[in-house]
Amino acid sequence: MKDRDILEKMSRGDESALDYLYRKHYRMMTGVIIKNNGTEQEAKDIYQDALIVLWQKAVSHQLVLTAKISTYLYSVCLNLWRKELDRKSRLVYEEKETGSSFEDDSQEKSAIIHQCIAQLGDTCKKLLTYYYFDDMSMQDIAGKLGFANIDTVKTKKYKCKKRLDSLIKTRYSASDFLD
Amino acid sequence: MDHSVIYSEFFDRYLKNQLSAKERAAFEEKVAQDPLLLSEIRLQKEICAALGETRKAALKTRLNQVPVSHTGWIHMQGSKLALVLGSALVITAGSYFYYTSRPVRESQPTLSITALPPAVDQAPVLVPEPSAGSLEQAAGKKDAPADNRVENKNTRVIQLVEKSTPEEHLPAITRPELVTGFAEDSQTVHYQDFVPPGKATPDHSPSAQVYPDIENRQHRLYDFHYQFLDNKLFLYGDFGQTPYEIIALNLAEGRHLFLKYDTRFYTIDSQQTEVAPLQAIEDSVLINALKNIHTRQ
Repeated sequence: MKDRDILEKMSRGDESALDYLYRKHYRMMTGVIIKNNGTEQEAKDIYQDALIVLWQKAVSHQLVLTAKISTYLYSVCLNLWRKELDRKSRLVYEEKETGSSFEDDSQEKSAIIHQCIAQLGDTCKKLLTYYYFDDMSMQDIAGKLGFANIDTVKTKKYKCKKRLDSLIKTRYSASDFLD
Repeated sequence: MDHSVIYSEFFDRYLKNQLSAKERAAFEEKVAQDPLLLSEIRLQKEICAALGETRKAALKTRLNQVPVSHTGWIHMQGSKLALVLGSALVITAGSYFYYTSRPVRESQPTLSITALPPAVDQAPVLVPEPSAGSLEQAAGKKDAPADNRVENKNTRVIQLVEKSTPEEHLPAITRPELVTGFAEDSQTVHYQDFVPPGKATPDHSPSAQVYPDIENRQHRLYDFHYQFLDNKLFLYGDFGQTPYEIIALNLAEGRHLFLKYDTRFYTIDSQQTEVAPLQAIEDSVLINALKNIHTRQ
């Protein structure tokens, strides 16, 4: 499959293109991380993150590729790995200097939100993630989830978002999210 | 307080950076002055982040189910490897067939059928009419038309085959055209003594090299031509996959060559040093004789 075909599939939200890319470049991309002192698991995580970056840009039609996909992925992997190394070095420093009460509080909030998301139905969950993360158009979401038209998608998305907000705010009052 | 009232599509546009610079600046100024609005915006950002993490987790779960190789580059680039191996195989096979097919085309189809003079104990094949006479004797008995050159030609061939003593017939067989005046049925007399090549013994072979070397050449000017140089037969043209065979008759006065190709027979003149077209033998009697020789082999 050529790069152009892969991107075209991705832009339509076809996740099989992602599978294909993952398989195709796995050894090369993870090899880069491993050669730079990463573990196999870290290499895998970084490569998957890089692919998701590519996916997100492709599916939201924001990607203008001027090089081969493999070149793009290679660059993203290296950047992500550098960030990860920075984060790890900062983490060691922060653990020595300060406690982590703020982080614990933030993690608790995040855990509540994730629990509420998990309570949503599968369609709501997909619709909201497609809309907020993938940044898919209403038309693409309609096609992917089998809605009749974009008005249906808009209505459904509004209802799902209200349902999620309601679930979260039931668990916590607004003041709980205030700093 | 009902926070759902606060949420609006406008938030989505803000969170997705879809506001114009003017709209964004105005909205952020408003947010800065309203702590409740600020907290709502922060909540919405966290929700968006959580939805993103959910989506990433789903995609990673999917990717983790994709089988990948952990053992080496060979599996990762399987398609490329297959392409390389396939190409190598094709090149190798192509080279093999190219270099082996040329010699095969030159040598494999060549079947040398050598009729040797001394063996005279064979039963006739074409026409089993017993006769020990020479060609001249047969001609005298049958009163054949003098101008039947085609028949003479055939007769001559048969006569040459049956002669066991080359010296007796040398004058009569220098060239096929020179022998005239024989009847059509006179040919039959001589087949009885024709010696099949399989029965020939090496001791009776008149020459060490019974049939010539053969080389098939491609030439843009010559199609289905031949040339005879230094006891080597050059065949011009594309003979395709159809085998060709050389029938060599070793006679007292010399060797006579015929080419059999695709059910037809052609005369090969060993004196033909220039490139000349292959002429199919039209004479049915000679064709039958050659067919018999060929069949015996």
